[in-house]
Amino acid sequence: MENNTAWITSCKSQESGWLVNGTMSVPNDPANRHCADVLAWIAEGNTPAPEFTDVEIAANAQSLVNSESLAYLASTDWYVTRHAETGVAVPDDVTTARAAAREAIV
Amino acid sequence: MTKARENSDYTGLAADIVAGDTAARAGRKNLIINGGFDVSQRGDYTSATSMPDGYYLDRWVGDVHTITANIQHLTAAYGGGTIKTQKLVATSSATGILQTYQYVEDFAALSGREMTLSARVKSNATGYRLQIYDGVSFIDSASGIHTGGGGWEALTLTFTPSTSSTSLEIRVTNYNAGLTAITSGDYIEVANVQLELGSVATDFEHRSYGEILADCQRYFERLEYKSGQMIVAHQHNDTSALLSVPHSEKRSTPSVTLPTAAVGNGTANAVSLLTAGGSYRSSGGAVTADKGTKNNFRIVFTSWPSSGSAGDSTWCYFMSNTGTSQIDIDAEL
Repeated sequence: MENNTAWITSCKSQESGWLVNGTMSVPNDPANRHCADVLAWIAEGNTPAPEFTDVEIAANAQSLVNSESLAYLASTDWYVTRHAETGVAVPDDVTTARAAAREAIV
Repeated sequence: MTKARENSDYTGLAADIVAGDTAARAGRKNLIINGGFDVSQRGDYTSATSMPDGYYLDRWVGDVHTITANIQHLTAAYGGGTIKTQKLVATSSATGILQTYQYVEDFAALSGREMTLSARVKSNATGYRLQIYDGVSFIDSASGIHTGGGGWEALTLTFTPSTSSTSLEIRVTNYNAGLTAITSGDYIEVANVQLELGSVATDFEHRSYGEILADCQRYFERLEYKSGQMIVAHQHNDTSALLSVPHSEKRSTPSVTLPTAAVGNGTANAVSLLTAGGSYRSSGGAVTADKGTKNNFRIVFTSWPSSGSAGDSTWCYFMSNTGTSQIDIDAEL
């Protein structure tokens, strides 16, 4: 089929191409016929939306912080267990970092 | 030891040489794919289906201009048995185009070589024809034009594409150096389409369904999941998960169309990420495909809370309250 842009109702940038009409991922590969359609659609003056909105970027960043914080807490839980069982104090820097990690989780 | 025969050994009639040449073309001679209309991954189309321009039966485009039409995948009696056919029926009247065509991928290797296109065609309207478009010109001939008498006719078209060709399109069409009048109810039904080297149309080459399906899946493949099927994904962080999906090798990096992202368990053609405990969820995020190669891609779930922690295995869940959930992998020309 000839290049046709009428079927494109929405287009967002992706790392390796575009997300078209919400469900189709089109690669940035000139041998792909949908890629040719998207390039023609852009040539008509259209601009793909960014991959993530500001809200989504913030949410993704928070997810990463949550994961890293949870992982840190899990990896240092043994200090707390040791303190409870043997009375050996948790190092101050660990206590401080654990508090920061708890604070960072949303 | 008996030496191999050479051309100079053929001292008989030219017809003997032609016969030998024909015999040599007996295997894998059909240069188009799904010419027998056996494979239809996108749907069965056993009922007449509205046909906006696009791919329907594998490798074949259904195409209209200024009119509307239906497409149907049928079985017809032939030679004491049956054959599969593709039927296009106009559902409105106008001066326009009603046609089906297939792109031949390796057109460059065929440039300047004599070939013959053959097909069985049935039509109730005059002027429907076999036609070639090689990017330079449209090629047809009287032997490839249907009478419009409503019966099956064996049409052939011998041609040589330009050495400057930029495409090779095998068409069954009403296009005749311009649009022609189409009346609602006009139809073309096509079977046993074959493109072969040489000037003679030989018997249609039958292949197994599995062979044809494998050929078709170089261009398009549909993965189907019954509601309730799952694939293991892995948490990237506490709201995102990833999984890779392998598929048969495509001619180029394909487009991938995923089911829609949904929650609960009652949406047609949908996919979800279950909670870490394996429960349906009441809210969720997005799902996309990315990082595709010719033989695999990645599914990415983003913004799905309570699905686990980084490194956990998790549940990519397909649902559908009707039919199946589908992933379409498309590298068609």
